[in-house]
Amino acid sequence: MIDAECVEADREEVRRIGRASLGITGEGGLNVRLRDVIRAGRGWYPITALGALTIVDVFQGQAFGILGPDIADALGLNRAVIAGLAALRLLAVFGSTLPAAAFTQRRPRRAAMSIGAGCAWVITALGIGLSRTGLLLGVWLVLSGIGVGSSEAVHRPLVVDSYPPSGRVRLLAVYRMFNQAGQILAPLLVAILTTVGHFTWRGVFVVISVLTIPAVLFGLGLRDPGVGTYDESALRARVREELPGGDDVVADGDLSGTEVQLGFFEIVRRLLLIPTVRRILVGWAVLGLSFVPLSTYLAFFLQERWGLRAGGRALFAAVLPLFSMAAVAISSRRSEAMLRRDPAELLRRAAFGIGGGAICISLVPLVPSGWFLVMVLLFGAGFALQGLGFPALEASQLSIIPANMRSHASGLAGIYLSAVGGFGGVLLFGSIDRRFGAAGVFPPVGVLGVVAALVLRSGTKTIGTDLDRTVDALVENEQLRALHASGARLAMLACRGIDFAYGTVQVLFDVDFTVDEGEMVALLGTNGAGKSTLLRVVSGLGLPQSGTVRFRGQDITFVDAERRVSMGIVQIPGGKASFGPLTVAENLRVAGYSIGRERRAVEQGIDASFDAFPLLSERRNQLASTLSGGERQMLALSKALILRPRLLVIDELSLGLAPIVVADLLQMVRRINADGTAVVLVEQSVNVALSLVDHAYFMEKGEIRFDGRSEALLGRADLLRSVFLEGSAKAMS
Amino acid sequence: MRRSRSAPRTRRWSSTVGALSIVVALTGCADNLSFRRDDSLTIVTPADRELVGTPLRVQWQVRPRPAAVRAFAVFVDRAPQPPGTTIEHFKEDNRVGIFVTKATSLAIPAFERRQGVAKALRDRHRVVVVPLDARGRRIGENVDTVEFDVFVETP
Repeated sequence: MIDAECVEADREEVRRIGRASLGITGEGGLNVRLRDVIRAGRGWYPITALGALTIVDVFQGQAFGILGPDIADALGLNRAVIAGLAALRLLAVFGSTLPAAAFTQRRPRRAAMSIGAGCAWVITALGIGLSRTGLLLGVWLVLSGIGVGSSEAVHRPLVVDSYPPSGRVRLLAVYRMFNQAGQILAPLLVAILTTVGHFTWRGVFVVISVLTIPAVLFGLGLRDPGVGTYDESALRARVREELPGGDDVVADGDLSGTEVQLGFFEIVRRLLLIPTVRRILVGWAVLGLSFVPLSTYLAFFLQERWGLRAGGRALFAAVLPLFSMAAVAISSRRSEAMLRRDPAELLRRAAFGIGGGAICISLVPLVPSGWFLVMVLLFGAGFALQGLGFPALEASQLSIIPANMRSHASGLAGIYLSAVGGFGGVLLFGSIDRRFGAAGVFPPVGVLGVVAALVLRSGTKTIGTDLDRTVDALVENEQLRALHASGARLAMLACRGIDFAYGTVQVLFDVDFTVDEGEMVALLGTNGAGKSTLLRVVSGLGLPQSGTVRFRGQDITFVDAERRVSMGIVQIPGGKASFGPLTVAENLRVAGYSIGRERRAVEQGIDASFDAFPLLSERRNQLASTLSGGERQMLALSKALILRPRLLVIDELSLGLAPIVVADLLQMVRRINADGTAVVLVEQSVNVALSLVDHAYFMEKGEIRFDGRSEALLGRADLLRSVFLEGSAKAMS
Repeated sequence: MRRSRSAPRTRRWSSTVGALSIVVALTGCADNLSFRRDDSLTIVTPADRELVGTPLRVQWQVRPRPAAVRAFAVFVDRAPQPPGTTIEHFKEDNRVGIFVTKATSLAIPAFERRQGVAKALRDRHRVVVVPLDARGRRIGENVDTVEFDVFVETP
């Protein structure tokens, strides 16, 4: 008991150190000035260069929105086509966020991508300005949208990775202020160019193209700072300091050369399994429902209710971000202190700002005619509160996930906001507008804002745990590097703290499970204890809600099942391991081709299987569905052997088979193990399992109740009684 | 001969930039693109956002009037034809709200209430005037528009 308490205390201390390295010290107050954070990081250049790029990134979208009617008249396009082109651009924006994340996940080329997007805007703005047909216009708008989407995915992660975490919220706020500045400047620029400069829409886009050039030239010096340079690397360094033996041991213990890198879909799936990220994404979608189409209906509302013409509306659109900027400037320091103390506080603030802002905006139609200033102030309050909320939300999301997944998280946020929410919102608000007019869309904005706030607020319960999981995974990884470097032997398979649920029903609770190289382990337990589920987690068919699965030291928790097969983890699922309509030979061939082996190697594997099981050779052209139970299990074993497993996971080998058949199969399993393959044997039959293995686990109700030598398990009548009683009950029935 | 590793990458970038340049060139390889506003064609009445009755007389002027301008096309609540095309651009059964005249005014007897828009905008209409040449083709991108509200007596 005391040992357990000590382990728990150690774990808490390591977590505390890890959190502090990520900027979450747990202390109130904030004594680090932004200037110092910037100096400690990469200086003023990255944030200003990215800021300049985000300003020009806003220009094209805004200009197209404002000049849409002029473009329609000039090119002879109807408004539906212009609306369709705008939607196409939006589609390109959110459709390119995740590909951009995928493009940058292997190599640090986020800065290059930002510069590339800037160059693309120079060309696309020129292309839009010179387009003579709707088709060409569409092509340029899509290219422009791709540039914007890629920036969405990489800009914020670049900001986060360029500076120490002690200034994260303030720096994201600064970046947001640059974006807001773009929102202010774009309509003003269009207004000045069209009224004072007498430019047509073409002229405006050509000028935008020219104005983008200095921003891109300024950004040419951007360099990718590396992923997690100031937080995860700091955490690793702290862990190294704490480890006995110090840096010398770990310096040689770099596992990176052999580490498994998650693929794109694996990362996305991993992110979607983080409860707080899921809640934040749902929050973005609900926000998108209201805020994406709001700008359109706001223009109609100002026109219908307050008689504002294009110039007045443009001015109004330019003034609103000023409120947001002021709020960001005033609140970011306090938000930073909140993140430092507890990320849940920051998420609560985000929920408050977003919900409060939506409520303020929803009240606007109630302002009596003639009280124009009150209307402006109410809108201003709404934008200010949102200015409080959005940087807090972004910082919360980016702080709890591994650094290499930040671009994906930003991309997902863009998709949920624009695609899920935005398109849904256009449909929803369109029907409301037709029925009640533009003023009718404001009450739903309030309702949706409150819903989004409640969803985000529910994340305050999970954010601490999610942060700890990220820290735990990083610490564990670093500790393993140290062990590896010190020459210690790593377990072949190590599952730690596995929680797994089917929907809302949790079936595995904090399961630890280890298999050494060449070991044969039995996993025993009653029906429904969670044995097969644990195997699914090992083989990648099920992904755990928490915990890690490591194979030869490498974290494979979220690696696809297919990739695990090629790594050497092969599972024989209980009673479902062969394809009935295929012949025996075809079944074996399919197993070989499933991992892309050469034809000759597959044929050799098949011959080896027939040598091991002569009975199968006699049945080679027989359909698998016509085989007996024992023959099917032989076929299953043969299929697994063709894949040359390092770890063979066998689920219910003996179920429903005659003892003599079971004996033959067990003999084969012994031989496989003797050849060096580690085996996990899941059995309900205690006698069968314990006759084979030295090491056994016993599971009950989703927990590991026993981990030790099989002789010791035989002495645990309290555990085995349930198995025997269940077996007896089956026999009686 | 050793080849630099960065050579394929440079080639890829060059071809991308080259392809984009060609598309830009194709995009703009036509004349008559207007970069500065041409205010020679101006709708005189009604005024923008004026409340008007029916029948409505729309008047416009062209100063100075180029010799090529022989007629005008007037479009009510719809987009004009693309530059260089005639109203044949629209199918014969889809020419509602299109008028062609050699004069600089046009009387529009009535307006149909707009469907599928907010209530407040149902009686808001938009007129577009474009100049045509002798063969009825739209000249350049020059255009003027006006939006107005039509007074409808409620029963």
